[in-house]
Amino acid sequence: MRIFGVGAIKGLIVTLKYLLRPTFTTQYPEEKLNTSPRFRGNNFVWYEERCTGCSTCAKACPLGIIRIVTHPEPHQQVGSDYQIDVFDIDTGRCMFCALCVEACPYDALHMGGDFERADYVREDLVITTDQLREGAKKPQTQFRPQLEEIGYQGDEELDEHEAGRWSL
Amino acid sequence: MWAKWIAKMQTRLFNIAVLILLTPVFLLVYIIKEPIVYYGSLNILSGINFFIGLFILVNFLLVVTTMLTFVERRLVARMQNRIGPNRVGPFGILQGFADLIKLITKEDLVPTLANRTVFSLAPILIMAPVLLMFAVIPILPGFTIADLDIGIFYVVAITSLGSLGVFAAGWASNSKYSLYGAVRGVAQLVSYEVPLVLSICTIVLLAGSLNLNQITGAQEIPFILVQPLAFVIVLFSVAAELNRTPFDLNEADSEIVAGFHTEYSGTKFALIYGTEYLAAFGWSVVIAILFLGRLEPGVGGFLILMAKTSIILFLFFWFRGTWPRVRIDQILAIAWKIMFPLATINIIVTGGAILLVQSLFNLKSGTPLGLQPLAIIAIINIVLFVVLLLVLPLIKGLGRFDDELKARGLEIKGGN
Repeated sequence: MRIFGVGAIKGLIVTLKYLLRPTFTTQYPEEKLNTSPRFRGNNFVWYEERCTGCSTCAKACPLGIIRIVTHPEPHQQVGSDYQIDVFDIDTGRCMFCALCVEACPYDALHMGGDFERADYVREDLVITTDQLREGAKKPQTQFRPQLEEIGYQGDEELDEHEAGRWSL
Repeated sequence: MWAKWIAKMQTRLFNIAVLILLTPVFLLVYIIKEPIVYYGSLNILSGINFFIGLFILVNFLLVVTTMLTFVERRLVARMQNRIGPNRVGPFGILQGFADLIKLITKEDLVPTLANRTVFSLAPILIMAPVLLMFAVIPILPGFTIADLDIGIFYVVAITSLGSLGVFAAGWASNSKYSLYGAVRGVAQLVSYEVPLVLSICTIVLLAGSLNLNQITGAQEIPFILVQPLAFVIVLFSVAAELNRTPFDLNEADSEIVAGFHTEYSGTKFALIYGTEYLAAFGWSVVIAILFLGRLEPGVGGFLILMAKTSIILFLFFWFRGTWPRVRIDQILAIAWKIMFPLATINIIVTGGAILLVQSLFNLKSGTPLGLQPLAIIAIINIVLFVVLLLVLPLIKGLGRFDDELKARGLEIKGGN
């Protein structure tokens, strides 16, 4: 038996249910959604202690945006490593393919999880050596299976011993 | 330089002109209310108090209007799983005021080919009737600006003037979208006046008066129980009259930009946009007074009236969040094929019921009906309501949309 207007009232009940439900919206600047552990963010995590200055990452980069300048004289403390003067990454031209991270033989370079690096000038998008030294050391697990194995979620600070396949 | 200055002053002058034009209209109400006999009226609204009362009323209405824009946006947003405006002030309460300030400080644009005079006059023509409507609405028992004996008739008559403003706005803009919107609006308003008035007639029959104070006084049982069918018809007719979804054809934003107010901006747009909510508020108060029981004295009584009004307003917002817009032929079909016959049946049945009750209880015609007679009429009308709900789907050709679907071999599950 059909009753006049039942369809319309069914629609009303649907919206009433939605009215009482919590919203899907996240208030972005105040609350942020969690990113996946393998997230490839806008920044890089670099451990100077692990880096030997071999420039494998710079050679692997398809865009040639990693600039490494090493000191002409050998490192005083560790004989076989280069002393690194400059390590710049121009993220203004980076496509975040993470090939540099994959190429690094010493697990010194990792993808970072930051995504709020918008800027007004292209020059400011270059990550300088000092920024890399002082930046937060929260590596993501892209191309880093050893971090995934220990159940690391990409949200903690790791020191140079924990980040690599072997401790220094 | 002078041209710029003149354009600037025109905006200021327009704002002042609105106030100046509205004042004599209120004065007119003040004059015509004088010879009217008061029915237990407090009669404190005389002399200078009248203007103080007006000042308070108009400011109260402006605050309510700006708040309603915010409330509707929040409610409809929640129905769509969004949050809605929540940045200006706590919970975004001041969003409406921020919008208002923005609109007032905006440049007052008039299209080159528009008819300047009519274009500027139209927002006032739209707003004035709605403000005038509040003159007869009782806030407390016997407490109105003008206690007119023809209260509800005055409300219906004065609000239908708004369609003149809508048409003036649509024509004077010299834009095809505006004209389409205006033409649709007038066709719709004219159709829905008829079932609206016929349904209000049943209330008048029951109360024995057109005076809004006496109508509220006659509600031993809230008239929504005595007249469920009339309530539904009035609700939908008012939704059509207010251009609210599902009948918002004359400003259908997905079809004709913004309908009759496409070309408006700044203060004039604020007037038109505000009037939409002011009219919704006014009609909600009228429906609350007509259907949702008596007015109570005191501050508590005022709050109860506002609560009833909010229920009706919530219904309008709910409809907006739920139903899609109907086509122009469907709108007119609903008005003339469904609502008009239903209102006629309702008025005949109610009239018969009143005659029956009067002979049963030996009541003279014209005396107010008591509790028991109203209860009997209520039972008759509720039975009529239920029977109509069951009988209407059986009538062929009524659910036109259904027939269209059947012709294509489709069918909706669950009813029409």
